[in-house]
Amino acid sequence: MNRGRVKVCRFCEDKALTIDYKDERLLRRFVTERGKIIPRRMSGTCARHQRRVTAAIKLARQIAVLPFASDAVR
Amino acid sequence: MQRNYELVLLVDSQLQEEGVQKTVERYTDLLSGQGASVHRTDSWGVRKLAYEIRKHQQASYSFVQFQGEPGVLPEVERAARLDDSVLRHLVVAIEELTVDPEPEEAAEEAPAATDAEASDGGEADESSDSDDDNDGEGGEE
Repeated sequence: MNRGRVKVCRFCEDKALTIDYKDERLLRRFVTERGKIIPRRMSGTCARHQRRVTAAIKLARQIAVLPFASDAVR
Repeated sequence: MQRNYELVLLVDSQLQEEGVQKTVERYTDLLSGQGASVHRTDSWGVRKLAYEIRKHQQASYSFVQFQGEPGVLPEVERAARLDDSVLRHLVVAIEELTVDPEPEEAAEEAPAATDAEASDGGEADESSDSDDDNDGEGGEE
């Protein structure tokens, strides 16, 4: 986990970056290999954006874009 | 008040493309029959599922954006739930409908914006964009 270094929220940095539940590639970076949501303190995401990321991940799980849990190493 | 929604349908991919299209059409028809206006439909085609749903490993993903009264939602939900060819469905409220550039305009104005092989609109998928330019950084996926 090289997450400890990320200081600023990526979504505040880049205003054009939108959070979309269909965007698997983006959301993958906010879950662990097992599929758990990475906490704010590790991802550096601000409170506001973390809430949105979380909501998007949960939607993505409902439509099987992301796993609820997975032991497969991707 | 009319609101914007997006309906996601995971259709059994064993129906083949034609069957999938028919299934999606049933929902667009249902929506327009209920007084909602279908804005656009989009498809990812057959995609691997992140987990098994009713023993299926893959499904065909379709997205229907529409505008309508919240009252149409129970109808759609019910239809989708009873429909055996729909493995999973989801309706989300969205703030803005995705605006497609006009086909002719797009040809002139935005050739650099997307991949060249997105020949002429059609079903060439552009809605799942947003990522392409932004992810140089975080190494892992």
